[in-house]
Amino acid sequence: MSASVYTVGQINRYIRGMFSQDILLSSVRVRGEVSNCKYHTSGHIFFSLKDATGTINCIMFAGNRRGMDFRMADGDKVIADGSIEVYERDGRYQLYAKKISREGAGELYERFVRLKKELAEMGMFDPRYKKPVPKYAKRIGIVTAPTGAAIRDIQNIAGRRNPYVELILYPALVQGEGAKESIVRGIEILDRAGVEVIIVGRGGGSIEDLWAFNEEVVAQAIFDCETPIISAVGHETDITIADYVADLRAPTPSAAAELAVFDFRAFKDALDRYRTALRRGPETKLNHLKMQLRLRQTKLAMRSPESAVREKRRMLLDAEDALCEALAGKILLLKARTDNTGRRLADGMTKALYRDKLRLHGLIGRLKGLNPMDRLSQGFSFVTDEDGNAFTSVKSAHEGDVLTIFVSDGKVRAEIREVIDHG
Amino acid sequence: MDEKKEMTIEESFAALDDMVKKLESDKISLEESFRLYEEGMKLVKDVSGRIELVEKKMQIIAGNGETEDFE
Repeated sequence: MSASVYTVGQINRYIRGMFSQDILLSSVRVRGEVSNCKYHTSGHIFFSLKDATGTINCIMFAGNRRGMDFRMADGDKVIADGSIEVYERDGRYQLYAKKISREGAGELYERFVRLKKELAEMGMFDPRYKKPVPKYAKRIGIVTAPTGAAIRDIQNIAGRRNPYVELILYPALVQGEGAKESIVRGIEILDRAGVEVIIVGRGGGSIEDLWAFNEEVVAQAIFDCETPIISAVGHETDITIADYVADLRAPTPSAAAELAVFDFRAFKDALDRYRTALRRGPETKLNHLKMQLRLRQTKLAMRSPESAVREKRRMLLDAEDALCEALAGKILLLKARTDNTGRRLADGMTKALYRDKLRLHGLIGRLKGLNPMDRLSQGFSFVTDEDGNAFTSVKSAHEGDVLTIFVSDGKVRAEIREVIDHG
Repeated sequence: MDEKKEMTIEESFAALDDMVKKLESDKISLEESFRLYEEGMKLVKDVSGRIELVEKKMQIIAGNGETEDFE
């Protein structure tokens, strides 16, 4: 029984020393769920890790955060690498984390990186092992799920490009328990089934969903397969180990179908082009020879006696033509002159006629002014005696005589009441 | 040219390319051009015959290697 009395500091320092001598505690990996996570302005991260049975305080100094590719939050399941040490001031032990990785995705990613490195070192991604994918495959094997987007996309594109190719599907399990074995078996069976190319893949999903394509056995099966393999896993951005080992990587199942199924129209067009080009070969040659022959014929014909006579005859005909032309020109000239004279004659006559017509119009106007009926409409009237003679003087008028008075719209008969002589 | 039967479609196309190039050159004789034409046409016919113009249904292959129609 010791009577020594120690200070708090002495005790804490003693315990700290015990911890630091422990090999396990100086380098340890702890799995747990994050809680009380605080990112301090200094850059340090303070948090706790807990599981069903307990809690441990943790700290990560700013200087260790490099390489941490996610922001930790409460509830995250992580694995912290570091050491357990005693913090003397509080008399507490805590985990000093040097590296934190997310469990699940993070761990898978690490496995992926590790396997990729391993297989690369084994030479499994080496371009010299890549088999060329045939351009005109007629039998195409597919390892994927019998339901889902991938097989539908492949079928659609294959049907559109070329309905004459044969697609043989191995209905595989592409995720979860038994997926890798199923994919391996599909590759092996199709490799023996005599197809010319095999598409191995599935539609998009999480890293866990795609995981089977990151398994070493699948990579090995792809590598060992005698038939060229096109990998088609997930979307453009998903790259799996299978993609690295495959002879050709397609970004999506649709793209794989385009790479595997040759375009029948393009094939037909190519054949037509060859037919035309082949036919044109002898044709061009023949045409060329024919042309040369014709050239020589022409040259020969030009030197024959027949040709000389024909030449003279031609000259004669030309002269005749010239003569005729000259004559015709003369006639035309004469005709034009005659026509001109006639036109001037006709012009003179037209002018005379026009003059007479004007004169006639003048006369008609003047005659109109003399029309007695015009006067009547202005209030004047025309009076006759009983014999129809114009009544112009009182000298011949007697009381009781009947006169006829013409007005514009008719006449009246009137009796003379009185005769007044102004004369 | 007995190996012609063994040629893949791609090899046939390469051979056709070669023939067309020869046909297009000036140095070739008429007899040679006819010979190439005939040979080429035979090859074209052969290649087009390789594609069996029968619409294919998708097959499903079982673990024992047997196939049956899909859907």
